[in-house]
Amino acid sequence: MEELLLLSWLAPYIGAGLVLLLHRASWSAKSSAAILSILVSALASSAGAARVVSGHEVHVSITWIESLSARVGVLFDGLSSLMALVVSWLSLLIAVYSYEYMHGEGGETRYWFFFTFFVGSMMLLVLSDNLLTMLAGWEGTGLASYALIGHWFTDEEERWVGDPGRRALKIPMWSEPSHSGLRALVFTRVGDVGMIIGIATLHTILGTTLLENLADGVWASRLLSAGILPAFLWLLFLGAMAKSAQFPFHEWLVTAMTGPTSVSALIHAATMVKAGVYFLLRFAPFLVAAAGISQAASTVHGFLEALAVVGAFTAFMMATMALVSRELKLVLAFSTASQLGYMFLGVSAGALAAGAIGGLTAGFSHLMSHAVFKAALFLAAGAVIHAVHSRFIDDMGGLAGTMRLTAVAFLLAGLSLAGIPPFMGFWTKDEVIHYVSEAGLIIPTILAVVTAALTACYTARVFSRVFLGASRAHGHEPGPAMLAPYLSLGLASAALGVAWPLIAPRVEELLHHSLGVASSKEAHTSPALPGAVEAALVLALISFAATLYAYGWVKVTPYRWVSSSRFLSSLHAFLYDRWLLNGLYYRGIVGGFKAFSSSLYRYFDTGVVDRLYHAVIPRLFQGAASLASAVVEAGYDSLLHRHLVNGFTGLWRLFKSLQTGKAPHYIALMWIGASILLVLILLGWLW
Amino acid sequence: MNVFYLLVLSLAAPALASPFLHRRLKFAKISAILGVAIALALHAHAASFSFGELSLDTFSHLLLLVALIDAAVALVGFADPSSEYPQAASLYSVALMSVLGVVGLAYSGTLTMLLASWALFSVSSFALLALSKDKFSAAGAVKYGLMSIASSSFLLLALSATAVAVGGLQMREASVSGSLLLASLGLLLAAVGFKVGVFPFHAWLPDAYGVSDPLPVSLISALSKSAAVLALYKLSLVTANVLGESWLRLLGVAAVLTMTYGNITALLQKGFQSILAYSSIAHAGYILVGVAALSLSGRAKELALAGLLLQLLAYSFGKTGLFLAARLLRRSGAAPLKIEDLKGLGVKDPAVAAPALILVLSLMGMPPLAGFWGKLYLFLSVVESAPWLTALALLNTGIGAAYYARLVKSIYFEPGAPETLPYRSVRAALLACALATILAGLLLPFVLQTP
Repeated sequence: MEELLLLSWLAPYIGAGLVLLLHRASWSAKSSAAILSILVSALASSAGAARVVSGHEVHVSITWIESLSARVGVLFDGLSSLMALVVSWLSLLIAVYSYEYMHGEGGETRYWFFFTFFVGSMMLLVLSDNLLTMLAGWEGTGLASYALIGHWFTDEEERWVGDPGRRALKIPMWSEPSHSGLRALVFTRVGDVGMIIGIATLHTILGTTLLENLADGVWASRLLSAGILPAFLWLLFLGAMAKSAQFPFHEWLVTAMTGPTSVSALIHAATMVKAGVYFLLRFAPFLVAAAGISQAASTVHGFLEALAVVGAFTAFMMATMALVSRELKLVLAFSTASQLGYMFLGVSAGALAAGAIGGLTAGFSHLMSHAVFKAALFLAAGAVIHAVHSRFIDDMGGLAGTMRLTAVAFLLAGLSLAGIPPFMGFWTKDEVIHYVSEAGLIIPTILAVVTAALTACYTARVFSRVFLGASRAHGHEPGPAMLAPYLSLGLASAALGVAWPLIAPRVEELLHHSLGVASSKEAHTSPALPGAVEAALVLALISFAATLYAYGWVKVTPYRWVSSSRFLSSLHAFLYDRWLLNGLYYRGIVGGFKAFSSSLYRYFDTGVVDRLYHAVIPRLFQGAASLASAVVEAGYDSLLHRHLVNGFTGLWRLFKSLQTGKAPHYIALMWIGASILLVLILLGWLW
Repeated sequence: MNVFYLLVLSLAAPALASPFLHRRLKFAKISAILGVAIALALHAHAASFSFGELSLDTFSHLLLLVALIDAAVALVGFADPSSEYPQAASLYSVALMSVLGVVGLAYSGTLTMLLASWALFSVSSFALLALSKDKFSAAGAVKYGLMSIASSSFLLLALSATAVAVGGLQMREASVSGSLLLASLGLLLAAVGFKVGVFPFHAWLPDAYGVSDPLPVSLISALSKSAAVLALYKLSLVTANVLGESWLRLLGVAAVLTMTYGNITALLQKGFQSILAYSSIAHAGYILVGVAALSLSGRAKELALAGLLLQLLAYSFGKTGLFLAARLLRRSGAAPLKIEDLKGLGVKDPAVAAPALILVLSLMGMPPLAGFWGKLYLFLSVVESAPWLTALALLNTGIGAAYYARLVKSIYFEPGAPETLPYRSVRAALLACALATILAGLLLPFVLQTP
């Protein structure tokens, strides 16, 4: 019976096949096939999670490639069953939302195929018991992400992201869907290459890719004795950083907003971008176990601290960008990357401060709460953009009147994002900051606290600009298939927040059942940095209230102050142009490669290779050929065409002359032949 | 042993009765085909034995089987055109006699039996050729007959020398080697080899096969090869082991001379039948390679026997079929065909052209047809003891491909509209030959797989 749990990732794949078969059928038929397949997946993963809650871990495994220890199967432990629940049920809700949202948008088969393909790949990634099938799922999600970002590949202007015509460092700051898809693929692929090298190294040195074989931390001492542990750690987690849009890979997630909003909600907020965090969570107990081995301890600690810095910096940087953005989805995208930074920070700081279980609870709790509230925010934003026909918040305002329920859902989820108690986001962010301060990481703590204030500020700003103030556009509520998913998610984020003190111990207890937690040892304890949690709470409350008041009631227009001050306007431009990183990447990396490639072409290709093939070698062969024809060819020619032919005709004439047609000649020939033969025999020549 | 008498009876009875059936030609035809069919059925169930004048072993058994099947196919082919011959009933009679001669060779256990069978086959074969009664056949038959008489003195000399060396008429292995034994082999080569065109005893063959009426040739060309191989094989049991290296060298040299002569002379021939005639000489050379290998032992000999069998099969069906095809294009009494007369056959009459193509390719040695396997096994058999022979044989195969290709080119790639005669029986026999060649090529290599 446990084999049926394979359906948790197999069912969406089957759904993808069905969608292809139904490509001539109606929208409803395709949608039902897709939604049902995801429902099966959700039910299967619920069944798996129920077994874990009752105390059994489920491990079904069928050997696929023995030598690579690649097995096909499912592994339900504490971490993966919780993650599978989040992924599959959110996918189901967003699939239902898509049924209304994507109706009549074109590319129906493509949309549902890649949607279900994505869900299958994501579930495979989450439930794999080895790194190889995990990588297969990982790349599957990347492919689906690429295809769905570029869903509107005809690149109409209404599908763009960014201000058309705006340039920074002479590089365009707007992005078309097809280009964005490519960017996402390239950015994440850079990380994936590192990850593949890491997995290959593990397999080469340990001979296994099974997660259970990594639990005891022996791998770290093997890698350490090979002298490659630090390089290995960075390479292996490069894929995680790129997938989860951590600095310096965050750029792709911003322009990924060219995809349909349902896709942004599912892939680029709730699930796929969490894959990097999930990978880190999977490894957190192994890393803690490795830190327990004395020689590896300092390397692993250094690595975790560096990850914490990366996470905190990403959180801060993306929050500053969110402050000034004019596009509703972009604000949410910046905020997603920022919150992912919190998760990285949570996992690494938690692991440093309280061992494996600390990292797991801090990282996973925030992952889960973010998945719920950010999905709600995106889905609501989709409804707003749909109603207003614009992606810019300048064109919105006062929508609370016409889209009351949407506004409620957005506000509930937004309060969670802002970290206002007792909403869910408050608890989980609180835990992250708690662990950072306890781990004694001063700069990440400061960044995390400041980011909490910034988060509250931009959340309040975007809510007031869209739903409060003077009405600039006429909105209307969407149909129930769209409304129900995000309303329920918004309510869930409130309800879970209220109930969190009761839920948190249960989650922690479940996470105790994760692979490797038992075998990992407690990490070192550092002096705590007191007051950070309180400071974050106070700052968030103040900045949320102040921003709401300023935009919603006083109706300030900060653009005027900004344009009147030189300093402020250049600061605004710096933030608005995403810290100029987009321009730097294009000028430095893309332009650098272009220059390298064109100079390679100019100097090496035309100068050396072309000359070699088109001048040197031909001349060499010409010389050789003329020499050969002068010396060899003439003789060979006459041998072949004269002497050989003449020889054959001569022989033929000789033989033919024997054939006189006269019987006496024949008999004579026979006698002569026989006589010669006999003479030869008697002389002993043939003896 | 009783099988042999029944076998003789099944062939001799229709042979003797036929001349009296010339008013009821249909009976003669049916009884002849029936006679060969019965002989085939009887022989198929015969076991190896040795008694008195008679002796039969596995190789002779299989070889005769092939010869009888081929004779049956040829006689089926005879059915339609034979009505045009003035003494059609005698045609069947003589044909059956020649088959009987081959049967006698296969079953012969003493030198006298061998001599008698050989004489029966010789006489009936040139009689068969002469029965066409046109000037082309008459010239061929006369030369064949004269040569045959001249060569029979060699055969007598050879057999008596052998009898002296062995000390009796029984064909048992000779114990002492000597130049007398080798001289007897040389004489035997002349006497038996002339029949298949071994150089320099070949001279009659192009004149007989190349210009005579192709209908009798379709039977004789195939049976002569079987008869000669049987005779040489029987005598190899007596002398090959004793002569050893000398046997291999003498026959190897004869093989090279013969195949080279045949191939080179065939190259520039203009007549269709004369190409077939010279290709017969070339094939006599290939077959001599296998006969030369009979002095070897172990795996080489097994390969040689398998090769001889396959090559004889490929050659018999190839020549029977192609001479029958020539008969389809040549009215009785008309002048011999030229290659140009074949042009456009592929378009005009594909049902004749396609089987002819298969047979030509088989003679050329194209895999997977029977001719390929025959050559492969024959040439492989001597590759260790006489690599020079393998090399020269391969070179010759290359030369041979040229004139076979000329035939293919004329039939399929040149425009023309040749007349074919409406002989249904000949077409059926031609098709049977082609099918046998394909089937044998596909199946026999597995059956004959030597360990």
